Amino acid sequence: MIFLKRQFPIIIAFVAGIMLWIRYYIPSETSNSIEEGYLNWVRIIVGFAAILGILSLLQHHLIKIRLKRPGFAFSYVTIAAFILMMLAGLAPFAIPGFAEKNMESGSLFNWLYEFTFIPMQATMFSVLAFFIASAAFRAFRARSMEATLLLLAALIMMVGRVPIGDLISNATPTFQLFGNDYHVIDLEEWTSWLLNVPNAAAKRGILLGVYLSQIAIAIRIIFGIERTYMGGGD
Amino acid sequence: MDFVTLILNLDRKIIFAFVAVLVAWPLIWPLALPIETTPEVRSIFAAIEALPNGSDIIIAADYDPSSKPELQPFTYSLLAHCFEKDLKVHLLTLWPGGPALIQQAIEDVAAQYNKTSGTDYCFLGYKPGNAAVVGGLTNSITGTYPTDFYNKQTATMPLYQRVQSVKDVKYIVDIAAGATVEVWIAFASAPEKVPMSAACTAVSAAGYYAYYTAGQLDGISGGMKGSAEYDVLLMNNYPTVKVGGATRIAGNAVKGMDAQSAVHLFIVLSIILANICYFIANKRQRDERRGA
Repeated sequence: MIFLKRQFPIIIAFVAGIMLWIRYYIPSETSNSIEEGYLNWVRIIVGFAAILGILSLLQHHLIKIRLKRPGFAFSYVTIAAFILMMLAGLAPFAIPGFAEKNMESGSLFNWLYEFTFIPMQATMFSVLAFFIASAAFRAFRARSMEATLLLLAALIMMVGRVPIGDLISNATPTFQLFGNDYHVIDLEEWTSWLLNVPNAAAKRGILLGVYLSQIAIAIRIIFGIERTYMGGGD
Repeated sequence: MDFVTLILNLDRKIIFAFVAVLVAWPLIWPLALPIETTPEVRSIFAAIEALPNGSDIIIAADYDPSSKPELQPFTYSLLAHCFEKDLKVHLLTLWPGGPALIQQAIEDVAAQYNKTSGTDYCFLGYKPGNAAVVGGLTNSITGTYPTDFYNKQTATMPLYQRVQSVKDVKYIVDIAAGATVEVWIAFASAPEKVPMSAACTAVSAAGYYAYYTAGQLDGISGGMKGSAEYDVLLMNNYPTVKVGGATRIAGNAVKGMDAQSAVHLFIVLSIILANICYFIANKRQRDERRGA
């Protein structure tokens, strides 16, 4: 049992890691087919992980209902919606009043998706606009130099990336510099500079750090140094 | 209560009411603000425009209804652009909530252009496992997707008699609400040397400029503004693209930009006002302390 729990996962990680790493340096039909087989396995495992997620979600809500925890009534809604969508998608028979095949336009599944799922998700996301407006009004203060820089960048981006920003820029007088015409307030130029220079530079630095650490972690996993993915301490 | 104190203690419901009115007003009575295009979006349009007629393109629509207002108009316009140029479209999604949304878009646009599934386009549907799916497509499209969204065998489709893998397509566009752009760059575009562009939500667009400036992305379309710019470019270059009517192909994002402009301007003005009031209140406090 200890072998299956400890050594076996390390062997799998080592063999799979080394094989897929070497595959990049020895491109051949064999290495391609090994990679294809591996990717098929990954997709199957991810599929099972999705099932595990669904079961875990159901279990969480069933326990909530059984123990009558606060808000347990909403768990009934979650489970009912889950069963309804699953039946609509998987029903092996035609549902009266809807298209014959489950995934066709006009099917019950698509009807539920279009008239419940889309509006509900869109509503949830739209609410953000109200909270962002309120939060920005209350909390966005030029309290320090860093906060002032952030505030200025945010103000330029918010106006500069919408059509009204173009109107404002075009309404300001122009001047010539190195043979080019510039507006006194040129929000498109300013937003473009913010995105392409400081933003891209900062992001590139972060990405390099992230990917270098990912390589380090991958090496640690392949050689069995990093074992936290197995659920234990070390 | 004086004005400064009133502003600093403003009930958030008043702000909510302003936002609601400013979103609804321009949607009911459009302001028709002119939309200028940015180099990032013009690059995407130019890249698609430069593809030879009949080329194959992969469009990954990796989003779900929460990003519909920002990204669905881009999908419509891009599909219309591809069909105007008779490009062969391979459409798929890595997001579980996406397929029915993509189905609407492809069925609407394909019907408008009389395009046939399996010959002119293929909607491959959803598969879990982001990197594993994209990596699989570089080996074999039909191997990764043995059937399409409608459960039809892909291997027998005319489209896949000449296209085997990502290597055989000329371009990739990822329309993404999450971090799938990096997956497409790392596992398909860069190793197979297939150029690509990305259309993403406004909140995630800034994160992809590092790839854009490095040349790994030809262009970036950020949020509804990017979609509106693509709409404008499409309508200016292809006047036959239908605007409005029963099947709206282009112009959907343009309509949303008035509301977005109004709300952005309101937020900016309210932040400036709140900061002025904050500094006045601070000065008063300092003066009171000095006086005491």
